Amino acid sequence: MLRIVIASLLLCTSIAARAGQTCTEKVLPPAEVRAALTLALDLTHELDRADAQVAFVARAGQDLSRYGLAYSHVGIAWRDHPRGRWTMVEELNQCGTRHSALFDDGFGNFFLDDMFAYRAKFVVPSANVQRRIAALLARHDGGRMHDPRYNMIAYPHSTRDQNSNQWVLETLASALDPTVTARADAQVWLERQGYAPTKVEIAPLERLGASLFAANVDFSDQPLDPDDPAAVEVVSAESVLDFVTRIDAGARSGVITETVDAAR
Amino acid sequence: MNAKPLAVAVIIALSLAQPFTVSRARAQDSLAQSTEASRASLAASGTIVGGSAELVRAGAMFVVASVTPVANASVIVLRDAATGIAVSVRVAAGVAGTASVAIGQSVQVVAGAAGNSLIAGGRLVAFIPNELGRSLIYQSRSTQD
Repeated sequence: MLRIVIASLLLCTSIAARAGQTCTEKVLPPAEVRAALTLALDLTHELDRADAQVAFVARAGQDLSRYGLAYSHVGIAWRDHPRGRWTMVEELNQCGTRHSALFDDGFGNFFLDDMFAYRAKFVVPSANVQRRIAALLARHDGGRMHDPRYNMIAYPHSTRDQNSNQWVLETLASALDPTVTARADAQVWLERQGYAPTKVEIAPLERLGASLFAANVDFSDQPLDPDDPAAVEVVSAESVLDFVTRIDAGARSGVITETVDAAR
Repeated sequence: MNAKPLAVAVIIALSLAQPFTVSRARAQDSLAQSTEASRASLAASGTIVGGSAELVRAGAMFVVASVTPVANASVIVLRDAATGIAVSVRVAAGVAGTASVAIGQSVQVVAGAAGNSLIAGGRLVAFIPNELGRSLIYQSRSTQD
């Protein structure tokens, strides 16, 4: 029995050693390429129609329906980006490692990423909020709230790690309050404003599997709730969009979708 | 160790790995997909490798003249049904529609905002992004970590 346990752990270690080490990039079929580019163009048109210069955009990169979530990742769309009209500024995890970086991406890149569904939700803040965010990005201050220590389930009330949605949220805080100059300030500001992270239930087996096999997932920062040991708090894409629409009465939102149909 | 305990060990290890590796397989939400990979998808989707791109326009009808396998792809030669002029399109191997393309089959061009779709026998054979569609693909990194 002992040998079985040791062999299992060795196999786990072997698999875990490879987890997050590779960056396999999938070539997508024509129907998905068409859906991604069409959705990207539709988003451009929707934002232009709203006369927006900044918007928060969430995509459905993975199926999170078991957590009651429809979107998995959010970025900041900026019309007048020096790199090109309508560029997505976003934090991305690098090949499943514990590291992230900020990227300026074309809308095509944003959606050409093996989406679970070609669906996007956008929130266009009020003109004043848009101006503040655009000014921050124009000052190249987007990196101020970025922390390269990536964790897909970073605890929202800690500055130890950061997930990509958390960077958007904390950047919003620093854009709206000039006294917010560090991540800790942003988290205090967000709590004061009533930001509510998403609570998800992650079963013990899945938690163990994640800890062993995914370098970019670390539960150790999450406090244990004795009454609900499976509970984990995260900054979800939805929680970011919900927060923006709650604190900014002038914000407008919309959803666009594109179907993947190889028969047309 | 004989075969049976090893098999048990493999099952235990895979059962621990499975719950998360399955979801990780879809966990693309914030992984950095490179521009090279995006461009590779565009190229694999459909690239004109011979003849005039202008022939592939909305409403155009073609007939398949030949299908030639090349490295990891197929080159489909299409002859314009009206003029007889040929155009060659390369599509990545494994695209569902190309497997059923037969010589003599009709191919219709359907224009979209981001490019042209080539439809044969009710299946999408290739999608050729236009200039507007290609212009949506770029990436630069703004932090070093």
